[in-house]
Amino acid sequence: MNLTEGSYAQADLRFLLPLTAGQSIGVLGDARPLVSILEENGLSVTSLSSCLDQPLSIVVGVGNHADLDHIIVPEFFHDSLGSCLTHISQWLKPGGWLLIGFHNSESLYRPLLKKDAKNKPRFSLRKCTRALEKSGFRVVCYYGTYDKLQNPRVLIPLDNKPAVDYFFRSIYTPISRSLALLQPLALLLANTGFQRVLFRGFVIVARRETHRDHAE
Amino acid sequence: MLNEIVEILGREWRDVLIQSGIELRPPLSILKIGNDELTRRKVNLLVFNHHEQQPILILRLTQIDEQSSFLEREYETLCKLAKHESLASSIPHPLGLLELQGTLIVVESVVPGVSIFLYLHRRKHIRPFLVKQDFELACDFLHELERVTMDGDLPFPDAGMVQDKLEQLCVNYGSTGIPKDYQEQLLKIADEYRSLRLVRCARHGDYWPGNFLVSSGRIGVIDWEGFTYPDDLFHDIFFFTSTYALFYPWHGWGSCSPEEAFSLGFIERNWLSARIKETLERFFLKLNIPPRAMCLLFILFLIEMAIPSAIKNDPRDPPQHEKWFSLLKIIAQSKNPFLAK
Repeated sequence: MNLTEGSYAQADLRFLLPLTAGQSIGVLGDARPLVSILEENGLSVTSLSSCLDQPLSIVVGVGNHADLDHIIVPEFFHDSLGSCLTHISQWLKPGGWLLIGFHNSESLYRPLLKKDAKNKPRFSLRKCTRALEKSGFRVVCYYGTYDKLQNPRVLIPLDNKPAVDYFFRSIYTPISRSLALLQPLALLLANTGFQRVLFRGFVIVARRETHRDHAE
Repeated sequence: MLNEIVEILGREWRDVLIQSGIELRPPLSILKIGNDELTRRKVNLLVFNHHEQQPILILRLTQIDEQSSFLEREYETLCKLAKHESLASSIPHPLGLLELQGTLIVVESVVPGVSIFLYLHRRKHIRPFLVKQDFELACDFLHELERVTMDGDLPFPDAGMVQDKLEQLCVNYGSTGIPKDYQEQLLKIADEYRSLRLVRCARHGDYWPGNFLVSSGRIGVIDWEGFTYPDDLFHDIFFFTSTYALFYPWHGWGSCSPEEAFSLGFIERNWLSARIKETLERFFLKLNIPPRAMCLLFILFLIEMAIPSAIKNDPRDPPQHEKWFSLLKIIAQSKNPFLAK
């Protein structure tokens, strides 16, 4: 499998987290521009896996320490969501933040994907939020990515229909006639609560629950 | 960081925003826009009030010193320009600067509208009457900017200055890329019009269809980072018309190289090149610059775009000098350079 180096736009994912210099952050997957910016900003970055091909047993065998303040997974690439999230939650401090990106299984664009892109593991937003909650996370917010998960030039808040509508009216730049023809449909879907199907990927920001959260 | 920004806006900026007629209605949502091509990047965040169709604020942020100076310049520029009533409704209203964990954030109001670039990209502004309207709106705004910022005049470029620019091209590219006889023609025009004066006023600096928004009956001009004052006005109108030609969908959804698009806009005969020529001539005649003198200014504009660091406060990143040098060569080496006729 060819590794994608990660885009400059991917480095913007850092703005979704409450990062402070000196904190520790784990990155799962290859995201070089993101990692170099995090290091420039004084964060201590641990690469949890630099290879997408490694079997899960190796990826999750990095350690079992709850000592990271944040974990970023720009592109989730395993089939077993639940067990991966359990391990990720073990690496995070209680109250630590997770930012995780998924290829969208409900995306309208799936039929247009190339063969290798079709083979990537895909998940629905609902399945992901449930799995996160089951693994001890509280979902804080989620964004649709445009154009791709690997290249999130625009991050659109999926829980805000007017913002999705604004995106398709004032920002969306279709690259072909067929995608341009989809614009009215996109507006219709955005305004009827189906905005999640309009994006190829989405990122979720979640927080590992603390004992106090549990008690509450 | 986004959540912290939202909290700060709600807690500390509430009164400032209310004074500017902006009321935050939480929960706020943020839409992030960034460009993937840039290494030294700025990011724009649009802030939406709960259940509102239009964003209420734009936050422009950067963590890079060089980009911070661009954003600070934009903020200062907008503060000055907002005092002119005729411009205030067409530019973002500057609300303040904020620094958070090494990140500079400029807070501005949002100018409604969709960029002309987007209309071109979506193949919506392709009909002659819409293109004419776009050019008229762009010229009207520049004339207004000129009117409110006019401050004396500048000498028309003389033969010495033209020669100097040609030498700078040589230094950067090994040759000017301009045939000898064309160079002589340029020097002759400079000599012929040496008594002309150019208006000294403000320059937007990045006046292209992507920064020009239109909505029902309104226009908006954004991205003022490249603003310079005092300067000359011709750069903005040439940049607008050139980039309009570059982004015009000449072949519908088919691709068109910048060189071909530029030739179609400035060398070939067609309705759009005729419209561009007419727009430029009319614009410059209003400033008492005849078409032949305008032709020289256009070539000087292309040379300026081609020479690295020739433009003060150039906000374009990554640099585009080589692209503009190839466009300059197309015009100069063409057997029928339309402006020279």
